[in-house]
Amino acid sequence: MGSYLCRQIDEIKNSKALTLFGAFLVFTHFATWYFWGPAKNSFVKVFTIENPICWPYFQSCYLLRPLSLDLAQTLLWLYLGLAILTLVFLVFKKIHIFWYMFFLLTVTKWLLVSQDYRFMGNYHYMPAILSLVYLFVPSKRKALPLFMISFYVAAGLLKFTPEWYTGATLLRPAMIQGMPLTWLLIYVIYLEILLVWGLIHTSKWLRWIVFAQLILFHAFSWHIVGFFYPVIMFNLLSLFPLIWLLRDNKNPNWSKIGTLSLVVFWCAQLIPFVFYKNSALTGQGRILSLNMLDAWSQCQSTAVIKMKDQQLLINLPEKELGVRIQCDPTVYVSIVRDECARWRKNPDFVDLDYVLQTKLKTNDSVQEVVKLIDACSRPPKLGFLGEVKQ
Amino acid sequence: MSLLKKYWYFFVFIGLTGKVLHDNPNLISFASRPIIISAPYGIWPTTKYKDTTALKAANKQEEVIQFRGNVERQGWIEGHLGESYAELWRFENFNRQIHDAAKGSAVADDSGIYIGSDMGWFYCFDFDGKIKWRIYNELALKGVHGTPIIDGDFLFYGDYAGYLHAVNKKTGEILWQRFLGVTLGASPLVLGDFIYANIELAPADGYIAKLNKHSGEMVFKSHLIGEQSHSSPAYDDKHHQIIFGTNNNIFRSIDTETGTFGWSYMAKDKVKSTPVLYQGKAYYTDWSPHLSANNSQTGMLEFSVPLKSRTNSSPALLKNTIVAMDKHQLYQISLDGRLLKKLDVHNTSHIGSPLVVRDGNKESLLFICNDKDLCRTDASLNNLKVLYKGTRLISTVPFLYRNLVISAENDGALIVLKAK
Repeated sequence: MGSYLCRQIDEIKNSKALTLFGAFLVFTHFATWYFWGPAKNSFVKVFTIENPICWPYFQSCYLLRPLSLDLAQTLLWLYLGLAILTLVFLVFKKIHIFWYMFFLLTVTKWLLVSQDYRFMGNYHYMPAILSLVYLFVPSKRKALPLFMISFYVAAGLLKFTPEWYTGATLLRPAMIQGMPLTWLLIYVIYLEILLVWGLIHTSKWLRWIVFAQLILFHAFSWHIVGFFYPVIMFNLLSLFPLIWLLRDNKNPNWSKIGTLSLVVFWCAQLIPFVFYKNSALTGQGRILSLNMLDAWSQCQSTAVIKMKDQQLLINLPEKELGVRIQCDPTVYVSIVRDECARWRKNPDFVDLDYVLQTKLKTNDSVQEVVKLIDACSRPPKLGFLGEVKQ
Repeated sequence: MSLLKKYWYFFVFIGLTGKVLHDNPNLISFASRPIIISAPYGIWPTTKYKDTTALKAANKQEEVIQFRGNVERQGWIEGHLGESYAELWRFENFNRQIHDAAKGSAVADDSGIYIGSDMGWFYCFDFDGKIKWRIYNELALKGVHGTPIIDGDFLFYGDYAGYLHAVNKKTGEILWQRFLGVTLGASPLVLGDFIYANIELAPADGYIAKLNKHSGEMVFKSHLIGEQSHSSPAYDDKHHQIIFGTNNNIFRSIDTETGTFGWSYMAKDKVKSTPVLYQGKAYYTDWSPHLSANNSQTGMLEFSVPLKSRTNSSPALLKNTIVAMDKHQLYQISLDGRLLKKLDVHNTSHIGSPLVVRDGNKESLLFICNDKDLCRTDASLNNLKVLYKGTRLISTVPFLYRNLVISAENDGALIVLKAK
């Protein structure tokens, strides 16, 4: 095991391209720090509220909350400090220590993200996967591009939906509207599924043309999705020019671990397609896979608070949820748990019924995604993939 | 590029194109916008909380208490109207004048008094004024304005959040509820196993929903009617249609089996009143202001009688005549359109409708007068008597149950009066 890790470190040490790409991976943590901190203040906000939304794999997250304001701010600064320190070791070419520091940084970010489901997002998922490949998968110059291409192909496969074609999923109105927008959005599917393979083509001009289109795509998306997503993707895409321009003498052969890791990645992408018919609507099954903004769901989240001699029909609070998770059952299991805790303080409270109904923005067909009768006396259980059982 | 790779790319390209066009054939039509984003209200399914099989089995059709007394909305009720009344109890802070629409009216049977408030609560009181149960919808910011329907152990009511609720009358448990639109202002109609409701949408539009009353499942959704409808549907048994008015001046019929539009008649102004169906005619008031009668089969206008001021108040059938109210007067009109009598009543809210009380062969009229009082007359609009002297504006339709009269102030209390 020790020698295996040493080989990974050596591979990075012996490759200028990989060493530099390590810096870009650390930059994604700087971008994350800015996104969580100065840009949106979402980190401190989420950590200091009483009612967290827990991930399916960490349902007891609420036991650690709320953090004090000082502690939440300190955590964020420690995260930045760790990222800076990691970069310092890279700058001074202490690759061995850098490797361990980067591993620690990746784990730290995962631990932070695991504290609340509101941190869910592809902009965390993709750097995390790529970081693991960078750290552990041999023949990184081949594995990393294949994973990057896999991201685009997997994202493209999710976009076969009218929600995407029509632009209904766009967070903000695009500067291009109507039919031209539709054709551009369809072109993105071709770009992501087909043209993206040009990144590993032998033709130099084809590689650069595809690369330029991806850069253009992310640059265009800036005014729609905000700065964070494009900045993360620019950092990850830096891999290609680095590999193309900085040639290394020693290139380890492709290993079975690379194949295995790709198979695992693609199996994870297939879970929502195989087990959940409506994962675009609910997000269920996407905990291990890309969770694109491929559908804009609208939902009604209604609870009947049953009390002695009276019933209250309430709309459960949305808690500043992003579009991707605003109708996600995972979210509402946490909210129902909090509502039960809140109402139990009332001596007249008997129980609570809860229903989540969801529809796509472009479709009138509504589905009852979650229905919980007597949800406080029979608390719902959340499966690892987001399925709700009572 | 090898030939094999070229073929591979070619087939993937064709495959992708095929998938895109299969999913969205409109793309090759070059329309300006290929897919219309659906309306936010959508078609939301019924949420069923309880199994209604036992209640359904126990229910008898004749136990239905409809708004305005019956499915023809003739505005009469059987009972005995006393000569004078005293306040039995009042429930303060019932309504807060949150919205201009008529306040919800009560219905009652042996199990209690049922009424919605404009603050989002729906109540069941016992006859001593104690709350038996109540339901609150926090989404209904303008509360409940329609009159509930008692149907055996079922109780149905709509609210201003666009929900239709089915409740177990005895326990107050919500059996099912369905989000149908933006507002349900008018009172629904129960016919056999089905419930018909006027659904209001925003921007101003609406439709008629027919639902299975036991399950809440949608049977049909009519085409859009072009405006909101505050007029509760009346049922024409002979022609199997419901008749109602809308805020775009149209007085229309809809087939109860298919939901298709029947006739439509363009009135002179908004028709907010609930029509009375009697002997082949539909009588209604509009804002022009007129009381009109249309043939219920053809929709053709039979006659139109001018009133003094616009009214939302619904007419009632009183001893083979039609009575209607506006802001100032009570009118008695013969079935062929002759004005028989007028009576000054001063009902400036012009919303609360008169109620005919049938006591054997004797009929009398119970209505809001002087804005705050409740009055009665005999069948010829003679012997005007103030039954109750109120202190605040009233717009609910008064309800009579045994020796009790139930009414509510626009900004104040629910009032229950007892005959002396």
